[in-house]
Amino acid sequence: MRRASWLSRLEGRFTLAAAAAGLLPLLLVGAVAWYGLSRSYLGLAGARIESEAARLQGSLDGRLETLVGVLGQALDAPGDEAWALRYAAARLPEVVTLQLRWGGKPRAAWSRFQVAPRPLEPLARSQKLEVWGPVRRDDWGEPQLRLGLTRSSGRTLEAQLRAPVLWDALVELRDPTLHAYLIDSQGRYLASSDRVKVLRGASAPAAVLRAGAGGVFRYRDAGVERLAVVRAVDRLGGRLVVEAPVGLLLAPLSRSLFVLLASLLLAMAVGFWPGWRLARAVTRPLDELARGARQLERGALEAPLEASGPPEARAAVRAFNRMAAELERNRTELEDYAQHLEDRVAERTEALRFTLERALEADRAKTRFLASISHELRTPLANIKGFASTLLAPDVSWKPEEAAEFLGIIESEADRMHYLVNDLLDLARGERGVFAIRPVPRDPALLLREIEPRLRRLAAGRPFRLRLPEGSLCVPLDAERIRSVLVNLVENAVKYGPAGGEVAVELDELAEAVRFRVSDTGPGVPPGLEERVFEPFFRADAATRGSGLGLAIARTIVEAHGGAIGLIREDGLTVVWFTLPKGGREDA
Amino acid sequence: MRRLLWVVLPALLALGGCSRAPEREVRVVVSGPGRLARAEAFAERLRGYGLERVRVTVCNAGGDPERLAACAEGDPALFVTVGGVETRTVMEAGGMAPLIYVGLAASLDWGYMDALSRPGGRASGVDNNYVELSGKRLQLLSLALPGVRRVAVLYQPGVVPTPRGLASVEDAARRLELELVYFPVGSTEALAGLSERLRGSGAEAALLMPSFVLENHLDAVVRATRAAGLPLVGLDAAQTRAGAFLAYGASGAAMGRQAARMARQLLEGYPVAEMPVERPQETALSINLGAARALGLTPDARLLDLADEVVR
Repeated sequence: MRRASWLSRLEGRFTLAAAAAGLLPLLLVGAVAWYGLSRSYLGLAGARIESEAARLQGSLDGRLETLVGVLGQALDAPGDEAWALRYAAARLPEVVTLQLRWGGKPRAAWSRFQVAPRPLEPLARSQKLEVWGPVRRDDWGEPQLRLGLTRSSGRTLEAQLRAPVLWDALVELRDPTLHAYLIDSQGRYLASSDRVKVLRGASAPAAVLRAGAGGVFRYRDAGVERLAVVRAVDRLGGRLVVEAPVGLLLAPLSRSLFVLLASLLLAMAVGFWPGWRLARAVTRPLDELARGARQLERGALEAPLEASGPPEARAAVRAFNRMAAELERNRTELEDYAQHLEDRVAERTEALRFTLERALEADRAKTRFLASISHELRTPLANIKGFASTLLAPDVSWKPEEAAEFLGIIESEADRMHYLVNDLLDLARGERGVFAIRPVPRDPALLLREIEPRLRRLAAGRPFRLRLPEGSLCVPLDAERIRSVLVNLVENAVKYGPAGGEVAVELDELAEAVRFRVSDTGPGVPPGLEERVFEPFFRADAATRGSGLGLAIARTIVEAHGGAIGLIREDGLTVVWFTLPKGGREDA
Repeated sequence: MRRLLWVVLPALLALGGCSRAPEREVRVVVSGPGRLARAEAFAERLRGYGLERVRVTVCNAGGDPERLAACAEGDPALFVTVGGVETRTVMEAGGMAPLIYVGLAASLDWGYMDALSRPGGRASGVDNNYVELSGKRLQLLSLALPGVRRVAVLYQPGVVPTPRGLASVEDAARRLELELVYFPVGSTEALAGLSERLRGSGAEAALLMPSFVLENHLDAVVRATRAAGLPLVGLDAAQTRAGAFLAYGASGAAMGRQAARMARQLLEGYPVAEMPVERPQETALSINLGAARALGLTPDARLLDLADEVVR
């Protein structure tokens, strides 16, 4: 069953799984550390916010106390009330307008911006000496506080105060991550560093409005989680809020933790990388071998496997590749052998048939040879026996000259048999490669001149032509043997040429040899038999006379000299040629 | 190799290997030396916020209108102007960059916004309240020098805040029973012979109205009024230190710091069209006793108790 590919990949990447397993505890430790540290950190941040809120509330209360005190002094100042108001306004930058009322009527007023301010509306009074009125907003959208101070004498001082200016005089937060703002009893911003919210009269988040004063709480606003403390500002009926985004508070911790985790991860990655490489160096060749085995299982290896990893692994892959190559080669040969088996059988059959034919031919040649031998020997032997019997007949007396004639015939036939037997012996030696010649450097042209008279006689009155090269030649040759060859060739030319046909003997000097040519005007042998005329006892037809050994012995002699012999048809002539190397036989 | 990238790349990104945002320019446009303090205070405070990839440049035209126009070219992330002429130059130069002004008088009269609380355009900033305070300055002059009955008003005609400022002064004069003599100064050439004209007018004091010509040539104005024997009522404490007898108004440096807070909010992504116009957090009274002595004047001692700054 084939394994799933993802399982195979997982097998090859077990180190990754191991690394992940090593990473998990680190992440868990990081998460636990983050949880614990962040809670502690936020606890400390909450305490810091509480402290800052308390300090800010103290400052605000102090400033309001100062404000009320200075205005009270102006209210109680004897003499010129107008200058008293101006004096108070000069020391209180929050003041926009001050108005002194006595007996219900305005007595003096001072404005920071106007020469003659409009009278301020009297505040609704209870029995309190200090009354804070509702917040109003001017043309700029700036919230303005209203304060009324009353004395038992009936003198009252009403003030219009700029809330943002009051705030700016106070807000100096020590921690830049914190943000503080003041909201009125309706929850609208009175003062804040975010002046847009103030001038727009925006409302604080509902979670802040719902929160009780004093404690630290968390809330989410506009997707940002914040940690806040709310403090009541009783004089104004509003609330002081100090808050900070949790993310910003935790930034130093998260940054440090992130750097720590990143360093650990980096260290792991750096440490993991060589280990992973090493493990992969081992597993990759195994993967490759498995892949190669699967390919072999399917048929053949598509490409040699890549050798990688340690030397042992590379050796294993190389051995696998060699094995696969050997298998492939054997498989190819087997297929090829099977494919060409019939051809090979046919070839072998043909070879056998040829060998058989050669054997049969050799057998037939042997038979022919024996028959020829028998025939060639029987004829002279019969003559010898006939004339000898004739001479020895008791009832006949022969004249001496007749007896001499018979004895001459007997001698002639005996010589004939003697030559025949010598030829057979020479032929046998030639076939065994032990034909003996005694080459001596001779001029072949001179040899031809020496035997020219005999050759002319053999021509028996037919036109005879001898052509020799100019200059002298020197060729190692056995003169007796070459002479017999030439005689034999001229005899054949006379024997098979037409009556009156020219017989020519020519000698040519070639580059490496000399060439003899004996030609006649006869028909020669049928085409295709030019080679066979040099076989022993070969006769082109039954009418051919002779022992059939002459040309075979001639070839034996020529080849013993290192030369060659052949028969050709050329310009209507039958030419038998043979060559003798100038340097003699190479192995002589 | 690809697996290695999966490990290294996130680490590099986490450690800050990613590309950084392009630098943003905040260009402060200044017409001349009279308003340079605002620009420097703004730039110092904004730089103090430590905003990343924000570059603050101050383009000081030195009183040259062509250089001022050149300062208004380009497309920075934010224009900051320190007065009316700078604001008008940048706005008329076109462009899309938001603008924060540091001390513009009569914000609504320029036609750059629909309302103070929600401007709706590309400009917002700190209104210096100088127009509204013009009458108040006359009142303070009257308190300091109760004997003054005739006041010369130095103003630049054709400047947007001038009509409203003159109306404020006239209303105050009527209430204070003061007589006004008007001296329009449309250009620097008009400053020539000013002292003679002031002396010939019978005025006992001079009131400076918001104007880039007068503010940038304050030295000439101070010399002219001194020569005419008139105490000069200026716009802010810087002018008192420069020789004016009395000034009442927001400090240019304070407005610069206030505007820097607004600019920071804008650079953090708040839309300028939604950013309300603010007015100065502080209005300071300053008195130059040296100038008074030089003119042989003795201001009401009680006024010194009201002063935030006394130059002796």
